[in-house]
Amino acid sequence: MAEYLIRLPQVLRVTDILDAFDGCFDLSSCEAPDEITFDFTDIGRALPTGIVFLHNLTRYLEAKGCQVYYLNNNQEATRALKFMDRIGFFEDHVGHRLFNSGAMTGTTLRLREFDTEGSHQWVTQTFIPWLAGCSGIAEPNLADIQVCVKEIFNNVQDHAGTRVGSVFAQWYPNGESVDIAISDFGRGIPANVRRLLPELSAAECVIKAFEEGFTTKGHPANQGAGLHLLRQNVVDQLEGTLHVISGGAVMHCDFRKGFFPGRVSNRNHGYTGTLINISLPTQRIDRSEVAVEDGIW
Amino acid sequence: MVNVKDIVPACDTNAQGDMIRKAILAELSARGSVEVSFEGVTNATSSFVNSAFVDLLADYPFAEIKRRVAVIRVHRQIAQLIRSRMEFESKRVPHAA
Repeated sequence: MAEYLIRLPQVLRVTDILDAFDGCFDLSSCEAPDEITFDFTDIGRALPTGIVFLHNLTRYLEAKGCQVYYLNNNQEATRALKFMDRIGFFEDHVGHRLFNSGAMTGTTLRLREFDTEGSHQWVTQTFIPWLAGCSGIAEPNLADIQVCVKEIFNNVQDHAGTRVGSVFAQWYPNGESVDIAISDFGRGIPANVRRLLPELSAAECVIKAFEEGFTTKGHPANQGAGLHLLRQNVVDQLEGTLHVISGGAVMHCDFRKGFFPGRVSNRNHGYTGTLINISLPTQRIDRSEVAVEDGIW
Repeated sequence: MVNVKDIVPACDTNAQGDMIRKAILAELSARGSVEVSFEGVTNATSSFVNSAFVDLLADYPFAEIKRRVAVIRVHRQIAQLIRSRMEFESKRVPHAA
């Protein structure tokens, strides 16, 4: 019986979680271990991307028939663990809250598993009203952000090979910015791009996927516009940043540098899913009343 | 007149875009021109715009679409996306320009 103990890092971020697998098994292996235990002892800080990733990783392992346990997640109510508790992480995985961690603050949206059927509705009915409340920006002025999140969900539906994943959003009032982390555990961007361009590295595949007009035709109607629009809206127009982890690539994209590589785990350990984090300062969003046009050509 | 909100609940998916394109084509076939109203719609994805508008390029050149299809009561995000997608695709689809 194969069992592994993974000691989670002090800062719960994706690359560090993958590093913690070093010397263990390859996640892409068809045969997952029988049991895996995540040890929470060291966690001092939990980043949105890390929370979403660990959430998905747990579901990914469970889908492969692996029994997942959490160790020392309730020994001491540290700030990071209470935060994870408040946003519903442990409720989703162990069935109940672990601490008297208080109500979720208005600046946090509960971690949510999505299927693509309900994801657009979540954007319209939950995410945008929440962001409008946090930022003080009227909902019609958030159209560009709304579309960006929907584009990611459409991308999951068309390309991931799975229709489920998770999403988490956090508003930072001091910096007037929002982080939105969306992750699926599908086949990943590089695997899709390499069907057409097998010579590209994982990082090059991510860059290629964001080019206007490039499509792998994951859906017959695809025309290579969605990810390009995401970059255009978030990075070029609003000077936010994108963080993309997919199939071995860790890429950042910002207004000054465009795409550049981030730190890759020593080994990717075969986790093929895609995580996209949008970090968006909201000061640049136009707050004037949205005009309605007649005649667009 | 094609009133988008009367046909689809939102402008998020290819399937919703397909429904609008079919309505546009029916009006073009019946009357030769059409007004497409986005009254009450605040945003649209590229998947929707591709299926509703870009795929019209298979039936009509872009110049013809500009002449016959009037898009009205439309918010900036949707207007910009339709314009940019049509301009980009009309340059790469043979005979579309």
